[in-house]
Order: sequence, then C-alpha cells, then structure tokens
Amino acid sequence: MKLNIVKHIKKKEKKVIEKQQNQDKNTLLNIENLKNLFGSSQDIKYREILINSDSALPVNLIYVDGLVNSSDISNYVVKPLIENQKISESKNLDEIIKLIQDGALYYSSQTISNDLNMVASEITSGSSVLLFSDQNTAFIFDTKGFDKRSMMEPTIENVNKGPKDSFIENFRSNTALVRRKIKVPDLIIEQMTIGLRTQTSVALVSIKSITNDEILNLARDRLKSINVDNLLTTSIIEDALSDNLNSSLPQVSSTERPDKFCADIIEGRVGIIIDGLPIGFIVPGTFNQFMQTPEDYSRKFMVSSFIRVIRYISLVLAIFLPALYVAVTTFHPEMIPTNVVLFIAKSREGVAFPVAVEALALIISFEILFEAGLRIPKSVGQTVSIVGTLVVGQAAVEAKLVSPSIVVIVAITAIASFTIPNQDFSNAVRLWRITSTIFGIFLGLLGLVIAILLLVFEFCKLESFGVSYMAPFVGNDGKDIMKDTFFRLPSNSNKTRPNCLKTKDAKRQGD
Amino acid sequence: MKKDLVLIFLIIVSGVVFFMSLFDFKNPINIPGNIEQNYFVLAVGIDKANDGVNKFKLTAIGEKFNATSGDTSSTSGKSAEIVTVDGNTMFETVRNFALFKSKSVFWGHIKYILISEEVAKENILDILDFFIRDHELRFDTTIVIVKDTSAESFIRSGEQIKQFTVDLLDGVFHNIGKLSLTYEIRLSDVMQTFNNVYCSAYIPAISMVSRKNDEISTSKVGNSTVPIGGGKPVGTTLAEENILKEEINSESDSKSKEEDSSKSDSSSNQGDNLQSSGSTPKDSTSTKEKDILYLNLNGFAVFDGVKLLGYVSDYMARGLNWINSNIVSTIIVVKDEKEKDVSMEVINSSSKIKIDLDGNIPQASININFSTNIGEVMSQDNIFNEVELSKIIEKQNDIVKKEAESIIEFAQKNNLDILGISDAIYHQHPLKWDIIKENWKETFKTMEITVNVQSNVNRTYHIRQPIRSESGDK
Repeated sequence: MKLNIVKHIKKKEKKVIEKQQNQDKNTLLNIENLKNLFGSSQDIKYREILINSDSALPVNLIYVDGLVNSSDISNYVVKPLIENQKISESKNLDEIIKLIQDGALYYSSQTISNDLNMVASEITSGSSVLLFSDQNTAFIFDTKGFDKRSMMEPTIENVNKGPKDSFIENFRSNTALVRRKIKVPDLIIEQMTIGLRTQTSVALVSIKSITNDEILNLARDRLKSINVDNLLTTSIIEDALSDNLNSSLPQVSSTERPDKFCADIIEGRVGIIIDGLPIGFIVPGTFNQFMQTPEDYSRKFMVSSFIRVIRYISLVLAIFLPALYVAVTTFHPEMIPTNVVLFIAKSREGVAFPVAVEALALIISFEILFEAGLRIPKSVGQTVSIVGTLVVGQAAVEAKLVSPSIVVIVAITAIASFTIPNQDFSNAVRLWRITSTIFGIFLGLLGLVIAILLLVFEFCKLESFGVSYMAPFVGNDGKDIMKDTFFRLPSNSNKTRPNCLKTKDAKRQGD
Repeated sequence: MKKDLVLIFLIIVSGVVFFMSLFDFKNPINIPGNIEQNYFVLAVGIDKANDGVNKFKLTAIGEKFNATSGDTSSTSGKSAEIVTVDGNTMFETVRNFALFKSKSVFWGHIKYILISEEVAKENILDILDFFIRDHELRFDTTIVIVKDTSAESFIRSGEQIKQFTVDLLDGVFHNIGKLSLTYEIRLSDVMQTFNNVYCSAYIPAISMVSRKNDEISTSKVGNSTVPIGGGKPVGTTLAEENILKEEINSESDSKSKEEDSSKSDSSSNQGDNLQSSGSTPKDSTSTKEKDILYLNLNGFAVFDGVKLLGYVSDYMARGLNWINSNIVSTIIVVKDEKEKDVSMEVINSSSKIKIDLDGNIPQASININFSTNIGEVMSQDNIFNEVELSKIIEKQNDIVKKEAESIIEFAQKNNLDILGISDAIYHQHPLKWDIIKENWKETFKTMEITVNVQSNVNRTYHIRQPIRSESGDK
C-alpha cells in the first residue's frame, strides 16, 4: 500500500515537473510561442525588420490591424529604428536593446517586458510590440488608434443648463474626462483587469484625502472576486457590488454624465469606470441619490426644492395610485366624496369588466406599450403611437370595455413614473405597482396598507457598503435629514459632506 | 433572510385565502361589488304607512344613471330615481328594497333624513336607532322634520318642477346662514341631545309652500314694523296648531268652495298622499295656474322627551339661535329718529349663560353680544353722530332682547329646556347640579332668566352718509 502511494505520488510529482518544464518552454517570449498563442487570426500582423539589413539583427513588429494608429508606428517607432545612427552602427542585439531602453525611439509610451501573456494581452489591447525573439524581450508601445465614438450629448439624461459631455466606450477617454474635472493630484485611478476572456480594464476612482478607506477596500475586494468569462454587460459589475441580490431595488447608482460622477466622488463616494461601457458607477448607492439630478443644482434653490417635492409625490403616485383607486371603489365607496362617487358610477354604467380587471389590464397593456416602444424602428414609431392612443384610449372606452376614469388614472401613473431620474429605480417601481394593485384588489385598503408596509420594509432593510439605503433618514443619528433630501437648501448652507459616508474630511466649504 | 421571506409569503397567502373564503359567490350579501352596482341613496324620507299591515314607509331618492355612451352627454339636469317601500321596522323596510331593486342600496352617502311629522309625534328615537346603529351610515347626516306634508310627497315634489329634490335641499341648507332662522342639526348632535334627559332637542323643520304669482310675501323676520307677538303665530305646540287650523278651515272653507269651482283639474297624486289637514290653502295641488312650490326652511321642531311637541319659527326661532350662539348672519331693521328704516347686518354674535345660585335655586342670566354693520339707510339723513348711533344700538338691542325673551317664555311655559341651561348649571356648578337636577322640571318652569344684550356698530361699507344728506329736507 505504502509503496503504491509513494509511486503514485512520485508519478504525480513527475507529471507536475514535466508540466512545468513544458510550461517554461511554452512561456518563453519568442515568436513561435506568440504565433502559437494567436493561432491563425489574419488580423494580427507580423513584420520582420532586419536592422541595418543585417540578418543577424532581426526584430519583429507585431500589431493588430485596426487597433493601432499606423502612422504613429511608422513615424515614431520604425523610422527612428532605421534612421538612428547609433542603432545602425551597432552590431549585436543586446546593444540595440540597451539603446532603445535608454530612449532611442521617439514614441512617448514605452515599456519593456519578457512575459508572454502580458505581451499578448497588450497586443490585443491595441499596443504594438517590437519583439527581440532570441533575447526574449519585447518593447511595448501604446499606439492605440481604433475608431471611437465622438463625444456627444447624453442620450438618456437630458441636460438643460450644464455641461453636455458624456462618457464614451473608450476607457482612457473616460478617465481623462474625470481628470479634467478633478484636477487635484489626490485623485487616485486604480486599474485592474476583470473577465477571463474579455480582459476588461476596470478603474476604481476615488479621492485619497476624502474617501473612507473601508468603502474603498470593500469595493476593491468585491471587484477582485469577480470570476467570469465576459464583462460585456453591466449586470455583472452591479451584482458584484450589490449587497442584496434578491431585492428589486438598485443599490449601485449609474450615470453617463461625468459631472454627476465627479460630484459624487467629491462627496466621498467611490466611482467605477469600465472599458467598453459608457457608464460610470457610483457606490454606495442610496435612495436619495436615485431621486436627485444634477439639474437641481443649476436652478434656484426654491424652484428645485419645489420640483424635488413634486418628484417624491409622483413617486408615491406612480406606485400606489391604481391600487388606491381599485381598493376605494371596490371596497370603500363611502370614502369618496359624494359628487365624485356619483360621477364615477355614472361613467361606469354598462361597462363590461369590473374595476379590478380593467385596472390590471390597462397597467399590463401599458407595460407592453412601453417595452414595445424600446424596440420600434423610428420609421414605424409614429404609426404605433397613433394606434396605441386610438386603441387603448378612444376605442376601448367607446366600446365600453373600460371606463374613462381608469384610463385617466393609468395615464397619470405612467407620466408620474417618468419623473424618476434613475431608470433602474423606475423599473423597480413598475414591479411594485403591479404588486400593490393586486393587494388592493384582494384586500382593499387593508391590502394597500400591507403593500406599503412591505415596501417600507424592503427599503429600510437594504444596506449598501455599510451605508443604509435610506440614509440620511435612517441610521444617521438624526443629522441632516432635511439637508439635500426633500429640499435643496441654498449653496452656502451645504457646508459638510454627508455624515453617513464617514469621510475623512467632512468640510466642504467655508473655514 | 430566506426564512423571513417564506414566512411573510405564507402569512399573506393564508390571509388572502381566509378573506376569500368569507365570500359566498353564489348568494352574496355584502360582497364588495363594483361601484356601479350600488344605488347611492342621497336622502330618505320616513312616513307612516297607511295600509293596516305595515307600520312605516320609506322613500329613498338617488340619482339615475342612464347608460349613455362614453362621453358624458348630460341632458337638462339630473334625473331622480325614487323608490318607496313599506315595512314594520326600519331594518326590515330597508331590506325590503332587495325585493324589487336590481342594484344594492348603499347608505354610505346619505345626506338628509326627512322625518314626517306623524312619525315624530310618536317616538323619534325608535326610528332613528337603525340609522345610528348601522355601520354604513354616516353621523353627519342632516335630520329634518317635514311639516304638513308627507315625506314622500316632499321628495317627489321635485319632479313637478323638473329639479332634483336633493339639490333643492342642498341649496336651502346652504343659505341658512343668511337669515339664521334655523340651524343645521346632524345625527351626532341628535344623539347627544336626546341622550341627555334634562335637555330638550330641536330639529329644523321644513315645509312646502305653494305661492301664486301675485301673492305678497309676508316678512318673516321680526322688525319694528311687525310687532313682536302680533301677526301670524310663530311658536305653537301641535295642540294649539290644530285649534288654529280648525279656525282657519272654517273661515276658508267658504272661500275655497268658490275657488274650487273655478279650477278644472283634479288634484294630482300628491293630494292623495297628504296626511295632514286637507285644507286647500296648505295643499300643494297642481292647478292650471302653475303654483310655484318652494321649500320653506323656517324654524325648529321642538321635542318634549322623544315626542314632537310643537314648532317655533320666524323671530322666535331666531331668538333661540341668539341664545344658543347659532347666528351666522342676519338682518335687523330699526327705525331712526325720523321713523325711517335703517337695516343692520349682523356680523358675529356670541352668548354666554351665567348661573348664579341662591341657595339651591339657580338664576340664569344670558349675555348676548353681537356686532353689526350698517347695510342700508333708507333716508337722506345723516345718522352718523353719537346720539343717533347710540339710539340705533339701543333699538337693535331691544329687538334682540324681545326675541330672546319670547323664546324663553315659550320654553318655560311648555317646560322645555332648549336653551341649554341645564348644561350650563352642570358645567358651572357641578356639585350643586346633583341636587338641583332631582327637581329640575319644577325648577326650570319658575326659574328667573334674564337677558342682557350688548352690541356695537362697526362699519358702513362703501359710503357713510347717504346721498343727498348734506342738504335736502330736514
């Protein structure tokens, strides 16, 4: 038995050693291994340059066609390689490597490496590589030059009076945008690579002298724990950063406007930028953030306070108005004022379906319209909107399928739900609207109150990065409840950062 | 976390199942239905049934919904849906609606309960018990006693003039404050006052009066042209009224025979339903000359215990309002030095009852305080000097004092404490009240109640002296 085990172990060890040796052989940085790694892709170009036309001085230029800026390579890498006097006079590759290392080539970004995998990933990122195969060294030049979308106005978040730039898919442009707005050297942009096959760069943006280190470390740990194939969609990052996956409410705030991003970072939060997504994420995400827009700060404080109050009221309307209507007309008609109840009863005379059915049917048909609207090609869009108005509004009422009052109620609900600034939050509201309507249908006002309780429970139990979701209403020692929540106070009263974030430097302005 | 969710889900599901099991869908009684299946009763009238079988007759009025198309094309006004039903007790009568009404009667929006005189004469609390006890009714329903006609004919009278009776009632009650001849009493007030054995309740009384086109209306309010205590009786018990009615009947019978022969039409359905005296001046028969029916909300019906005792109206009712601080606004007409009329508009008023105890015998003094504006000067004299104004104030005080004293006399004569004196004694001298209340009936009849009135004149609106007051005839 023992002998067998020992033999087994020895066999295993042998295999491991063999594997390592093979690995070592395979991980040497030379042209064969690189070509093996890349396979037969036609868009990776290899060009062998003989320095000084000497066949003993070969150097390989490797790049991906379409990702690089060819003129930069020609002018600033190849040209000085050929024309530099000292290089053309040298006789061996080591000397040339040393010359290049000292700075014989003109290109600004140059790194040296002998790691096969790193070189391969740099090539796929758009760098061009000068490979000295026998010496197993390579110089990497960051000559990215692919097509990128030019910066346009933000598509989802409309801007009236403020900067109209937005994030684009290019990683470096996004980080550059952030740097342009926050010029202090304390701004730390930590980069890491996530995604086995997509190798996406992800940056963690924070200001060292403000941000609480615990939030930053927690964000870094969570990002590093992502172990997926691809990072092409936002759900992976959001799920990794969320505390509670079972909740319908978003816990990570996202924006495509760099000014909102930077404002939140200066407030003490941590930002995340991902290559390939024109979105910046902010953690921790609280309920207050989802109901605010940067537009509030470009209007006078009384106007924006009034509009914020309207936004909160329309949030309540968007969730509970159909449920309230159904519950009150079905179970408690004595609660409605006499004139209103007679009017509703008169308008419902002869209608085919009971109130519950028509409420549910209209809400669901509205969801269908909304979803269809996302996918309609622009040429057909007009027709569908006309059809929607006619079918749902006019014809259904005249055919006595639904009563006019419920159409008005659902229309008000839908419009109210469009005032919510954050799209994720608005989607969660849609879910809750149907749930509370069903509660109202079965149990009347009692059901509605149960639905309200459940919703409040859902809100209050959430936590994001140690900060409660309902901060500053909850868990903030009662400080600054009214500051910057329902009202926006004038700017000179905005003296400290939010207490819930526990920032290092709490003072914003003043002495 | 997961356990919490599962637990909550189970609670909700079991709750829903429990509630749904209460509904028996085959024979629903109180199933929450659609809102249009309800027949919203806006007012209900209670009468005595005339057939020997049933005791009460209930008339309910609601709005009629025509199943028109979606756009609310309203025709000329609302149309009423009136249902009459008989029964032995209130609850049984109400359930009898289900025999022939397709919609289920819904009491949650009721505004008025009209009780006819006959029913109130016997025992008003018997019939009100259902309305107080039932959970669907509201406590802020207005209670009205219908005088001289039955409640059913009162409710159906709106059909004649193509108006909705409840709207007419709404309008009349809305305008109470302009003359303050009566006051709106709710079911909650009725519950309170009837519960107190030492007080007497008063409920507004309404009647229907037909008026020919050329009839001159008599002035309703006490002023210096119509002497207090003269003219038409304004405070009578039912016994006195019956005597008076016989006298009027014997006088007008001879007249009406001549009138009747000139009228060619027979009386309408309403004539058949009238319960009270059938004398023609008070009948609301339809004639070819088109009488205008108008609601006359004037004064109170006064109760002795639970039985209707009599009515007070016009200036006596206003006197009652002065004492009970129920005046919103009213008009007092006084005469100035040269016997010209000056109209004063009352802006606010309040009254306090102060009880002094002489041993165990209470003495009440009622202090009425009000302020007026000068609304109209029907002359060209300049009355705005100290002497004249103080005289005007004196005169208006006199009028109010006389009105208050008239109602005190009526109350003491018939031994009805509608003035709230027992309440005042209870609040001001609670220990002595225990002794006084044992002999309350006797004490109240012989109690000394004095009235002190104070007032002042505040404003004169746009102009002060009337036009042409500087010169002109003096």
